[in-house]
Amino acid sequence: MNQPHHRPDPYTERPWLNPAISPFIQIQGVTKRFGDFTAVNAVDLAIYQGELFALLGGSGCGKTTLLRMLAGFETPTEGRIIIDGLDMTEVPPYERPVNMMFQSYALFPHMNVFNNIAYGLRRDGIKSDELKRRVNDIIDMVELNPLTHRRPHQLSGGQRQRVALARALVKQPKVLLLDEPLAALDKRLREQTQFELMNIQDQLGITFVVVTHDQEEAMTLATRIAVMGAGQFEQVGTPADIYENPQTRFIAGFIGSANLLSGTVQDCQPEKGTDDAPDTSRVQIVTDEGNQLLSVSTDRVVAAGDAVTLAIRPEKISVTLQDSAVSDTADKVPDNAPNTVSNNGSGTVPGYVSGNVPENVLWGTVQEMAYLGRLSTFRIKTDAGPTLEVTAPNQRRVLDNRHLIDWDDRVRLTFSSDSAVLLTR
Amino acid sequence: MGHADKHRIGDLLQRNWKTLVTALPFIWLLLFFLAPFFIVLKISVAESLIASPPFSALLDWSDGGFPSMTINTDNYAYLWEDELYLRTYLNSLKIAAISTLLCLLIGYPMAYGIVRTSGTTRYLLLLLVILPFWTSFLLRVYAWIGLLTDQGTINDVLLWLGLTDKPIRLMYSEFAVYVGIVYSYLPFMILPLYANMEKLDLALNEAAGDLGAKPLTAFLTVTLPLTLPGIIAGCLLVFIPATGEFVIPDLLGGGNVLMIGRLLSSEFNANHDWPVASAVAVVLLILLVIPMMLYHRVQSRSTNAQPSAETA
Repeated sequence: MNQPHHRPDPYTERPWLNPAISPFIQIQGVTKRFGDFTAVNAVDLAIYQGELFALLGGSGCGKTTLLRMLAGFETPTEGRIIIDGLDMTEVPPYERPVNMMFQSYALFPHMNVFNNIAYGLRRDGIKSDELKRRVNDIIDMVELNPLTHRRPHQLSGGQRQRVALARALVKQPKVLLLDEPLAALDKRLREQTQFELMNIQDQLGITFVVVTHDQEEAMTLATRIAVMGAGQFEQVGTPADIYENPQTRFIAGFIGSANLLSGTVQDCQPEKGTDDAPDTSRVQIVTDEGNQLLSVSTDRVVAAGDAVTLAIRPEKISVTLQDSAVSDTADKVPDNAPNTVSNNGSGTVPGYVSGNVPENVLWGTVQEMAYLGRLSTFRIKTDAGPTLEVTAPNQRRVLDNRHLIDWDDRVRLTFSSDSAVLLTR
Repeated sequence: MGHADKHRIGDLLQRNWKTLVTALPFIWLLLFFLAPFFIVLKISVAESLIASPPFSALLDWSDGGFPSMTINTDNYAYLWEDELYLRTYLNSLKIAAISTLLCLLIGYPMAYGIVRTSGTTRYLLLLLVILPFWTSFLLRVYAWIGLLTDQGTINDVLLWLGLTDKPIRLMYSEFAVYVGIVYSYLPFMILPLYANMEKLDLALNEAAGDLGAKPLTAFLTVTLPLTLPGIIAGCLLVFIPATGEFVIPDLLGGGNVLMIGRLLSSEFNANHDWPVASAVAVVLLILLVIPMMLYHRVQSRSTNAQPSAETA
């Protein structure tokens, strides 16, 4: 805000924040039932033009059913689907300005690459020169030139994926639906294809709706993510919103990994926000396991005695060896004085130190260590009770298999109150 | 020593079991299919005699050590000269072709419907298709007589409903033969079609629809070409045996329907003209080998297309 010329216009990057723009796809109160089973339950969603929107969830959460309703393969039991201002709820798939890339790719096995891609254009009555030009343009874009006469069974998985993409894009749909577009590719190809998809989307400006079960894929690809569970949206937001500010325990556990500590609110102190940050409160909670006192800042309204959950990501906890920790910093805590609430509940709170020093300090022992190359993950049993998962980047080379922190080491864990998230659901 | 021999036989079996497994049926076919065929071929070039057996020998050993071979092509010439045979062949092919088409028109939607169901329903429907095989074919054709005769069930119902005042002639007509053939051979159409359609990915139809194809266009451009191997297999399985069919035209068509199977039988049994009967059989076989070779070509082409070659 202070330097507007350095930032892109927030509305072109984030059209959903601009009240002047109306959404391109509107899903209004859509429910889909199959017999007794409710696959999608009264869902509302607005997707804006040019977005790369991800529907993320585990199997059976209703994400594919929602996508199939956008494509027209399923008709909603209740609710309406509006695309570019037109009610599409009852319109059959072959009359929708929408194309889909199928999870299995669904390439026609009896046609070569060219004819697969040309299929949609032929249905629109496009012939000869224009047909050739448009098919060849898209073949150039997905770099399939030498393969136009191959049949699908003569192509590799990655090539088939490109044909499927080209076939869906060649009709220049208003919306491209992608059902698990990268699921069938191996890891290396998947990463490469992710960026290609993003480039193509950027080039063509077509609105993409991607269904995926892979949270990493959703995080990399999407402008916004809707996390689905049991036929409803758990949270809709940008990847950073969802990762850094999960609204529920489900989200915190589903996206990335998180240490979830249930506890009770002991104290709630409001803090005045600055220009950049809204008002928050600093909340003291006591964990159910081990009566550990922890401090967390939140914009949620809670009162003393509320049952809450504190979520802290493994990478947001820093871990140091106990010996170096004691010598490095001023907060000298004896080994035999764990940070538990004193029985009288007086105002002095060990472990909570204001100022530049970390607000939450715990001591513990490394129970398990996994070396993953660029980082290591630890399971640390804290003296107070809860076991925490912590990851640390391996900034120094590990030589002679001597890890800086290893099994059974005594360690100090610290995290600041705004690194943790307070959850009420 | 005996022990060592047993060992070697075991080794031999182990190394060559694949050859053995394929060789045994081949030997069987050679003995019981090819050998009789050559016997028939031999008789077809013999002369008819009033003797036992009622035909002349191919090789005459009477002339010292050297046998003399007599090949008599009169029987084949006779088939060509007597218009009856040509007409009967053509009529057989016509009846077989129309029956095949009827089976396809009935069987294709049935197979498509069965594939679209799932679980128990699918297996129940398939069982119903196979169920007639559990009763003797002959018995089932006889049952049709009971339905089709002037005093049969169909005419009884029609009379009772007042739709006709005297029985309609259903038996001993081409109509009865069509009914019999379509009824008997329908499973042979449905089963290969089912096997082919079962492999069909339903997403392909959705993809066609998604790309702008209306249901009929999607069927014509995607489903139909992809089920073509099943259609061809089913058609040949119906057409080939229907052409030479004997029981159905004999029992349901009587003397009114010319079919080569009946003619062959009367040549053999009534006229005792084994050489002409054999010639009729050989010509029939040659007529049917053409579609069989066609079938084989389609089969081998489709199996060659199946393996998904991972060419980068």
